[in-house]
Amino acid sequence: MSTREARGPYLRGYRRRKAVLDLNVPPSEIREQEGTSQLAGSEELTDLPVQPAPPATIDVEAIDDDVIESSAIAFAEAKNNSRRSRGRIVVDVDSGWPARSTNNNQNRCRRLLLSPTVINCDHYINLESSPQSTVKEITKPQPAPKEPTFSCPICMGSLNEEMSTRCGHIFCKACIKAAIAAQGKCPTCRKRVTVKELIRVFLPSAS
Amino acid sequence: MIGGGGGKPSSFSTTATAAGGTWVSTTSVSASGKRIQREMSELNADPPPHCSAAPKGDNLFHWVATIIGPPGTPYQGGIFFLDITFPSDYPFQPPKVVFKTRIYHCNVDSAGNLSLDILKDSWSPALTITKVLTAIRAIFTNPEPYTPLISGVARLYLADKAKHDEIAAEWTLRFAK
Ligand SMILES: [Zn+2]
Ligand SMILES: [Zn+2]
Repeated sequence: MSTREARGPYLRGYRRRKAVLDLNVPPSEIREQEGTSQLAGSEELTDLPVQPAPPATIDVEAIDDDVIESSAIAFAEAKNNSRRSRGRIVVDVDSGWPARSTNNNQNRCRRLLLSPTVINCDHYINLESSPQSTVKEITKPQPAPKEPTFSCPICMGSLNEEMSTRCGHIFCKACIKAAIAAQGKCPTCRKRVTVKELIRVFLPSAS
Repeated sequence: MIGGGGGKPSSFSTTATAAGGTWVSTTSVSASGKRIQREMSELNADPPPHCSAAPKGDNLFHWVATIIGPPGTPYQGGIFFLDITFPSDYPFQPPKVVFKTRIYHCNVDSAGNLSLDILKDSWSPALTITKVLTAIRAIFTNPEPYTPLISGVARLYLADKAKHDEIAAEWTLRFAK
């Protein structure tokens, strides 16, 4: 986050675009760096609200090729070009990918370039988001990533008046109260919990 | 009719009533039934490997399960039947699981009762039949001779595993095939 301030001048120049660019999807940056007509495509995103572009729009195959062709010089250029986006915290609201700065991406990317055998889009994505499934999700032509749904581990149904234990595990109010009455333990992690310590939580609705 | 299986260990009965009362009164009467139904559809959608489980008949609270003896063990290739009875306040109390197929195993007695911590003190309402079956299958591969139901079998397992396995394989052939 501190890098954001440090890169102030860069940020200011590109604020408008940056605010809406979907940097959640690392490969799109590579596209721009190539300076192809893809750039226009990403400009169009400016008109869209904060909705991240669905992963289906990423042509993974094409990007894969692009990355393989890049040389050390090309990479350095790309790095300069992409400086404006440095320090940007990336959060994929839909898939819940971890927040990260592009600074970090580049360090990782450089490491990858040292070893030609691993320059491949799959690996690139994989590094950014640890679960294997994310890679599959992106390569598959799906309209949008599935919204996470939460269910209660006790009734296995949708959460009803969800409450959190002291240890942070979430259940329906009635379910966790009954579980505490029976065992006095958190059903998920078995820590001792009491009804008094329960707090009402409000999860974002999964519509 | 619900939980008609009975046979609930007496030590559970006090808390069981309290827990069941809370849950049932604040939700619907068939909260336990709904949860069992959800487990059933989860089992159908994603069955655990080498296991099966389904209600015996019309009674949702009485199931039959099978576990196939894991390869590399003296139980290999055997089909072991189990009876599962859900208490009326399931999942706040553990299901009762009994082997219907004879098995030579230090954690299973001649009546088919098994000693498994998650079916007793370590039970959690977040556990499911799928997890229970997976845990049972795990003790086929790795018996727990230090918490045995049949100490003779446990002693032989620790002292002469080859002899133990020979007898267990014989039993598998005789009762489970
Ligand atoms: Zn619940
Ligand atoms: Zn917990």
